[in-house]
Amino acid sequence: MLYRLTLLLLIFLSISCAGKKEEADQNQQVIQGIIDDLNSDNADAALATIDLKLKENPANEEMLYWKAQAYAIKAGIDVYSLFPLMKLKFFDVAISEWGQMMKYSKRDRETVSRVTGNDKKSDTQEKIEQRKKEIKEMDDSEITFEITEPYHTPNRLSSKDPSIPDSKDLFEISYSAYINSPLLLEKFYWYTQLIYEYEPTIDEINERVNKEFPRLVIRQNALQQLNKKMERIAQQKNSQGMVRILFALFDGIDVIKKSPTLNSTKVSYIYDAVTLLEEMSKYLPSKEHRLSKNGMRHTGLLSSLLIINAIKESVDLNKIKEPIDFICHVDTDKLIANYGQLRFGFLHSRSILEDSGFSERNGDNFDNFIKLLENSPEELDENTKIMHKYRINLIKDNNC
Amino acid sequence: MKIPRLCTNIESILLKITTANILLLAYPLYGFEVSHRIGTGTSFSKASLVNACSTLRGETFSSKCNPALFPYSTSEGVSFTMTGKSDGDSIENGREIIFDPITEPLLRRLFTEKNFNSFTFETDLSFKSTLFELTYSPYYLMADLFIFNPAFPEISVNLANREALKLTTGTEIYKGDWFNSSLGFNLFYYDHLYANTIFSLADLAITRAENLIQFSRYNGISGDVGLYFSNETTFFPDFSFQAKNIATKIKKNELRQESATYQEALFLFENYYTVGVGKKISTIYGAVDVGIEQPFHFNEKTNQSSLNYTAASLRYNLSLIAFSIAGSKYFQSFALEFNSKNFNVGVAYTKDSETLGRQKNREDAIYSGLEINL
Repeated sequence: MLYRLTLLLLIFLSISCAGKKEEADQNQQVIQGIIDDLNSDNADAALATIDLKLKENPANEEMLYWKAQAYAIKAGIDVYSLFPLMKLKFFDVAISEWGQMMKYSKRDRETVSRVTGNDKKSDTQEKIEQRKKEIKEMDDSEITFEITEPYHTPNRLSSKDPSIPDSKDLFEISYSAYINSPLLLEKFYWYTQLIYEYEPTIDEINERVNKEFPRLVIRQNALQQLNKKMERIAQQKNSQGMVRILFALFDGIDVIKKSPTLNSTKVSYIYDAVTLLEEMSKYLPSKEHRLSKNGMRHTGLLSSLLIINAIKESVDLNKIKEPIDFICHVDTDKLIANYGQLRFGFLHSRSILEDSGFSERNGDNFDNFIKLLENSPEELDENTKIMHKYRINLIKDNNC
Repeated sequence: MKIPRLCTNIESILLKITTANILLLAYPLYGFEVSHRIGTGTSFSKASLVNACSTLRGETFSSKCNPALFPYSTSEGVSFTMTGKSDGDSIENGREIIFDPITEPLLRRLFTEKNFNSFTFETDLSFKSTLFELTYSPYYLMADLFIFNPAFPEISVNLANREALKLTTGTEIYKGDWFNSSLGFNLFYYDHLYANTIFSLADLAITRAENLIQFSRYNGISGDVGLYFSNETTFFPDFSFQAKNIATKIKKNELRQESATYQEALFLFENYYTVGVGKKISTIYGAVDVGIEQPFHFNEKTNQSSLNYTAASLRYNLSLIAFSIAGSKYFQSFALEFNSKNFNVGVAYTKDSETLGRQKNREDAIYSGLEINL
């Protein structure tokens, strides 16, 4: 019996040492099984496996990634549902011709950036800023001006009475003129009142005004005029930006129509998938890690689809005949109801916009927009909804 | 508790645990291993026999199976060979993907049924004399593609393009009444271009393919050593032992072997060993060669994966025509060869699982080979 026991022990030891299943082997095998389940469109089986592994280690970044993938499939976002979109972009031509197609798609990507946001400050705006700085730093002696169209009205205030000591003739001159200067964009109207002890001539008045006119007034007017010009340019750019956005939406109407329609359950899966991907990225060593790059791009894709879905639900696409119809045929109540989707979508597509260089090309506008979203509430209260509804309807009334 | 009863209890426990371990060992413990029928320095015959030919002597392709068989080969001259997969799902899918617009049914098929696609091709030019054989292989091409994750599609590619110049020689080291043995060598210079990477469909959309797949290069000198032990009995088998790719710079990447997504092609470029058992039975109706081959690595965490590569073959040679059946757990084939003095052509019908069972469906393919002897 002892011999048997010894033999068994030796066999046991040799097999245990030679065939010990290491944790790494197990983990990769599990991932193989998950991949095979996802490939077979069996997201529920994959999720069951993933949840077991996450119970052991909730910070397992690989499991978080695969869980997000399973949720995306549950949300109906996969290569099959996106096939109509991919067909538009890629699959209508053979892979052997993608090289030629890439040359044209680069131009499209830059167009999206120009279209969907305002450009950086234009040359004019920069020149205005520069000019304002020069004017502020200018010495008074450098400021020249000319008086045009002077007009004066004398008014005798008092007459000299020999019987009253210290009495004198006093004249009040109401004086107005247009002041022009190289600093100014246009002349401005100036009015003042001058006191004389005699009735002066127009030349004497002009001479006095030339001597005593405060240069500060010219400087202030020059700066005011430049500020107004900046405001007009900014307003123009905002309007242009809005027009460009409408045109971009109009151009992209095929993409919007062909994108998958998401019900509330699917939207909820997308929210979860995006949250998981962002949690996963915290545990990864670098942004260059494969899962990190995939996660960022997948987040961008899912977020973009949320935005598109919100637009799809809020606008009657069948009535869109021209770009302005995106405003005219928007269902205000649905748009406000989709505020959460839009906010989530824009906030979480930030990373992909940063990666694409979009934020760099659009400067402060992009940062301001993101800050606005971050400071806005996750859900709107009733009063805010009413206010937004009023504003949107006002825009519709003014433009449609 | 009395000592005998204690021993019985311990024995029982040990038996149960050992049984459990054995059962565990039966379960695959490897990552994404990939195997190929066509290896470097191959021939059509070797590929159709699933490389189980290291004791098959006296044929024009014998030295490609085992350099120790070189002394038994009598042919001389120049020959040109080409071997490759000429038809099958991989070829069909590859053609559809590259040259036709991609359709949704194709996409579904790629993910659910045929997510692994492979293509291999080898060609060489040999000069053979009684003293040595010089072989130049301008191309050994291997392209493995694995597509996965429909939610965010990724493609794992393992590509290789190898050029080699090989010198083969061998000699009998012992010739006795009953037992003979021979020793053979391959010494070769290789220039190995490879890429093993994963990229997503998103990467493919925004980056040119040539920037996505960055090739690296190994070049150097390596060698094979073969031993062959034969005997004059009818049924006692012959044995062979080979050490392949000695001193190669290409190592088995254990991380890739354990990866669920990165591919590792095994028993191809890295250092490994084989043992073979076989016998040639000559009859008046032709010669029958049977062989069994087992490749393996030393110092591996587990040798279990090697068992999946155990191959057996049977070849019936009628001089002008030869039939062969060969198979391992994941490779099965039936081949037909037509041999003449100057021209040999072969066709093999195969049913292979190059992913060693990971992909549910096996690929039905046709391999063809051509040899021109001058």
